[in-house]
Amino acid sequence: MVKCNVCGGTYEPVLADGSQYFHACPPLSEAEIRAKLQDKTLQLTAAQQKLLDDAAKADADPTAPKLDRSRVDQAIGSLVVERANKRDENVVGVAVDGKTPIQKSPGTGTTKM
Amino acid sequence: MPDTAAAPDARIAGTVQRYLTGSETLRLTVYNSAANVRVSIAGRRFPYGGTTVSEFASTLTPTTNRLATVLDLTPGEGWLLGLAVRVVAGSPLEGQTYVVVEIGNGAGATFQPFDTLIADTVTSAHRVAWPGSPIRGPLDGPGAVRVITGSTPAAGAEISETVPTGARWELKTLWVVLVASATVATRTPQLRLDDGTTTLMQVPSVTQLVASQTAAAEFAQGMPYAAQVNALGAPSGLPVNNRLAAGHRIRTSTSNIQVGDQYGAPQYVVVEWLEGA
Repeated sequence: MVKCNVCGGTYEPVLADGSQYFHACPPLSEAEIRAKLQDKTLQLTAAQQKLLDDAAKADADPTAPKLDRSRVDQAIGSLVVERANKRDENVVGVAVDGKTPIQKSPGTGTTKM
Repeated sequence: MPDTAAAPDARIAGTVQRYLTGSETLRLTVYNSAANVRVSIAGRRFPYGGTTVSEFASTLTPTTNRLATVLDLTPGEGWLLGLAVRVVAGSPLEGQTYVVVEIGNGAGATFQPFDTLIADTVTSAHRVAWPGSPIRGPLDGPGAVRVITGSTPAAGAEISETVPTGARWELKTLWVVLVASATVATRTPQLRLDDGTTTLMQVPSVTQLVASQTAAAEFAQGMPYAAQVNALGAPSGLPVNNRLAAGHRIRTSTSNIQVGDQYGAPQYVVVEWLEGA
């Protein structure tokens, strides 16, 4: 069992059937996006920011119909925000030695548990 | 090419033969995802100017990461009479090991194929040979049924599983348990399929969780869009015959997920084919 140093996910690199498992970090969850927006450690793209701004305006509009879930929450839920330096163990080829696989993105590695 | 009329005894009547000048390379390429597999290639040839049939054989241990593993042989001058490729170690399922045998010039990166003799998936029971076996693509067979335990995300994070390089998947079922923290909110897990960037579809789970609740979200082909079967089962439907290419993702997107909420490792069943890479 190893722990990804980027996302904190844990997994077995070799599955029960003996095959290799290739971990890739998940995008940020709603909770993680909210927390990062709150502490200002996340820079959204202009399009994503506009989506949130428009949703906030609509939520504040007293003439707009009330929804079970705010438009801002819905907008955050629709965002796909990847982790900075995300780890993706999937291979993209082999090194010049012709054998060593090259990972798509090693991130900051893993820790054995 | 020699004048066969000048060497009439060098032909064996009634068999399929391929004349080789001696400069050709016989290349075995294996794409594999199963553990501990070893593949053998064996053949028979009638050397030019010879009087008896000779045999050759070699083995190759492929990587398990679905990248091509290659073995180059130089069978020499003469008539190639037959070839067989089989699994001699390991127990790959149908769809986990795919072999190609080609004739060409050069070796390594300079190899230039000009004929394909064998191409098919192999298992311990499914052996292939030239002449005789049909040429089949890696996606032609039934695929390998695999049960996979994915990554357990950190608290507050979603699950996300990526189709590996060189694979094509059909997602059959997925089961994952969510433990909700004490924070008051109604969480709705949704299963998203995306191509690594763009969401392709999203299915909400029937299960909704309130504070301090533990419940499973389950998804399966053959179910309606969302079905409360009974108190113990609430599966949501997946697209029938869905196909996911390498880099596509199977992940959750949970409305109102809280920082302390904890997903377990997803358990899912896929049918896997080798695309090769």
